Amino acid sequence: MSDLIVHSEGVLERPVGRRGVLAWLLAPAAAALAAATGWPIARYLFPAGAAAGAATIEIPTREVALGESKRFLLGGRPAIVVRTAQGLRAYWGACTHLGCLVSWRRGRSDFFCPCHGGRFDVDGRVLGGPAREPLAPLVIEEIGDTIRVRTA
Amino acid sequence: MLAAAMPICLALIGARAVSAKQPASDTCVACHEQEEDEEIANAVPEWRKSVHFAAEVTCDGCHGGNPRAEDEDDAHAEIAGWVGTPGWKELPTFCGACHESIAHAFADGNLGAGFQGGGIPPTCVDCHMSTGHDTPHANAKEILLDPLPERLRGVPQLAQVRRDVLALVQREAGVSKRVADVSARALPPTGLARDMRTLHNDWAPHFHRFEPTAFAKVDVEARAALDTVEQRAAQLQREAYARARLGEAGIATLTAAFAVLAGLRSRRNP
Amino acid sequence: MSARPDVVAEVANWLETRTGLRTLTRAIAATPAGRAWWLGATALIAFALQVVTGMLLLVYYVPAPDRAFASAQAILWEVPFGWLVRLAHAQGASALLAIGIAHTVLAAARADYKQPRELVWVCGRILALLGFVAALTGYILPWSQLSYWATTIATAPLAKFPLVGTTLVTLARGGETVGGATLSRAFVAHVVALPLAAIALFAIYGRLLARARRIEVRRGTRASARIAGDPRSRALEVSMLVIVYLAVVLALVVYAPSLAFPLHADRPADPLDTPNPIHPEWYFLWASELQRLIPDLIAALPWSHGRLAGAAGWISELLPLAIIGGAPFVLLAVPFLDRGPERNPRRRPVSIALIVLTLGALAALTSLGAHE
Repeated sequence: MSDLIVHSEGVLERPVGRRGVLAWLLAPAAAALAAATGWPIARYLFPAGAAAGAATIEIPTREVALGESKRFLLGGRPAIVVRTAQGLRAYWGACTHLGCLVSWRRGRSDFFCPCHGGRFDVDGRVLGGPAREPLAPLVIEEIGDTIRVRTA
Repeated sequence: MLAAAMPICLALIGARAVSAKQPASDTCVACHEQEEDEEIANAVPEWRKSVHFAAEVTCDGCHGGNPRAEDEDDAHAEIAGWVGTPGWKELPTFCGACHESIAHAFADGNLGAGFQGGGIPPTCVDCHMSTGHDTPHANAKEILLDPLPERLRGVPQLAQVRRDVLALVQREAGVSKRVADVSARALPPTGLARDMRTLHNDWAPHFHRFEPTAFAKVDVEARAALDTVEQRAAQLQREAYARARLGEAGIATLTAAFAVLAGLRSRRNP
Repeated sequence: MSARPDVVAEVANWLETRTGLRTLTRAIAATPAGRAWWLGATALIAFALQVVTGMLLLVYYVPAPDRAFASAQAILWEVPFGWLVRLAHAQGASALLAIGIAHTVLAAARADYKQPRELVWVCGRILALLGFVAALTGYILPWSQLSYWATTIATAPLAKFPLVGTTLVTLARGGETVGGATLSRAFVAHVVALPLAAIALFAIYGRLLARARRIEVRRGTRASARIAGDPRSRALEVSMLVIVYLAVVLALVVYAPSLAFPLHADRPADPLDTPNPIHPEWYFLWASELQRLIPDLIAALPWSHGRLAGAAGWISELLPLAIIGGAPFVLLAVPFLDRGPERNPRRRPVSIALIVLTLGALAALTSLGAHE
């Protein structure tokens, strides 16, 4: 056992001996062990996310008449297109608040989210409700009798 | 202090803002409420009493135009979809922008293409509105029991078809009540409420043709469907009763066990 | 005295030597059983019922998105007494949460979080949180419309955290959107992880509570049992409580089965259609209502348009989430915020006022949400 060192205020201190060195080594060793077991578990729980790639879809013009909207899947994700007097618009269908799908309300000319009452105008801007960001737009063009929608 | 903030926040928020439920005020209402012309100015308060207000259908929902425009020309611009005030003949098409199937049936039927009387042609307003914008919720029994406007009383078969429909509506109401009674006690989903709605949406547009022979066919199908719904409701009710009896037996047994245990306990602690 | 050997006494002694169970039962019997104790006992019984009905449900339930709804419906409609098991589980969950809330309120009113019971309170708060997470993960298992969209809403706020948001939401959902991976994770959590954690926490809670009581009795701040209950009487009383609880659940199941099925819980999930209207179970209505109400209130303020519209937007979105997310932490910290020694409710007007205010606000929000 090492000698105790007495300081001026009477505080005892044990000089770092073999026990001290072992303690210093123990902490990083424990950390390494935690990392070695934790890392595979963490990777296991996180699926390799397939980054959503670009996608395109074509819809016949007659399926979206004036004042009408249509829901469809774009690259496996829901989207919505609407034709108003101001023209054709297409957006990702999820409300930017918490992800419920919005619907086009003809009577009020807005996109409405039923979960918390979020509203967006025809250009996707927030009109009311808890959403902060506007609807995420898609690129839309009308060629002849087909509407082509693709990711921005 | 943080602890105080949360409940106080919650308490303040408990007092609800008055305008939360109303459709957002926009320039249509803002301008038209101040109109000097009484006929136009009346539109807004009438609309506020109507079923369209309750369903959050605003002016531009029917008339088009831009409800967020700053001046009159922009608000009523054709490019913004402005439709204007429909004339008598245009009313069915105007209402048909949303109520499509009903408008089609009306246009093809006895009061549309088949109307042979003179004067103002029959329109939605005759049965569904009193003065213009104050459309009430369409209550079939009320509408069918209301007397017809003078000029429509001579239309052949109109009274007949109204009587037929009234009978169907009353049968439907009876089955609806049965369904409502069962729904609280039946294992969900019963699908009955949905069946009733589908059933109703199947025959309701046909009524608007106002032709007894055409309606008779629809009537037979509707009544058959109603019978099926009623039988299913009765079956669900029997099952619910059986479960209730089982439950009561269970509760009786549990009560008996409770009494035994209570007796034992009071013997230990007199 | 009877001449024949008392078999029961001999078996009991044999067990006692080897397990020491009698000491435990004596300790439980010795605690004065006030309202808080009985509420806690009821909560434990309710939990036990959930475990039993849950295990029975597992016999027929299949946790895959294409079969979950059908298997749950089969339990309800086809399996003999399946309706009893499923409805008891669904309504038992609501009952368990209601009892937990009542127990918490009573404990808060009686200042059962003050020293030396701080850790008991913390343990209780964690149990309550586990209860709500269990309700959330249990919700998704039948894979109904309500399941799908309630889970979308519940996991979406995780994405709002800066930097780690996407990681968190991917961890919770097992992907970008709610899907089969989410169902599997919820299944593991609800069936294995949460019950094990709850049982461990119940044991810890009991130990902490017993220790705190011992200290208090020794100090004289709390009276020891006025009537020392004997284990057999207490056992009889607990059995009677079990019977009462079972009878109540049975009555609910038989007379009001539709209570267990809120709107849209009776239709299979459709990722392409959010039903309108939609709202969560009663115990989450307050949260949903906050998210509807705060933006309306902020929009009614005159300064929220114009230059400060951006800030108004941030507040509208994040304030409700902050309140909902922060509430468990605030409640957890209560023993460290209110340290005064006073325990009599009559002499703690501020605490009682806060409790009443919070309860009133929650009740108001819940009833507003129910009429939405």
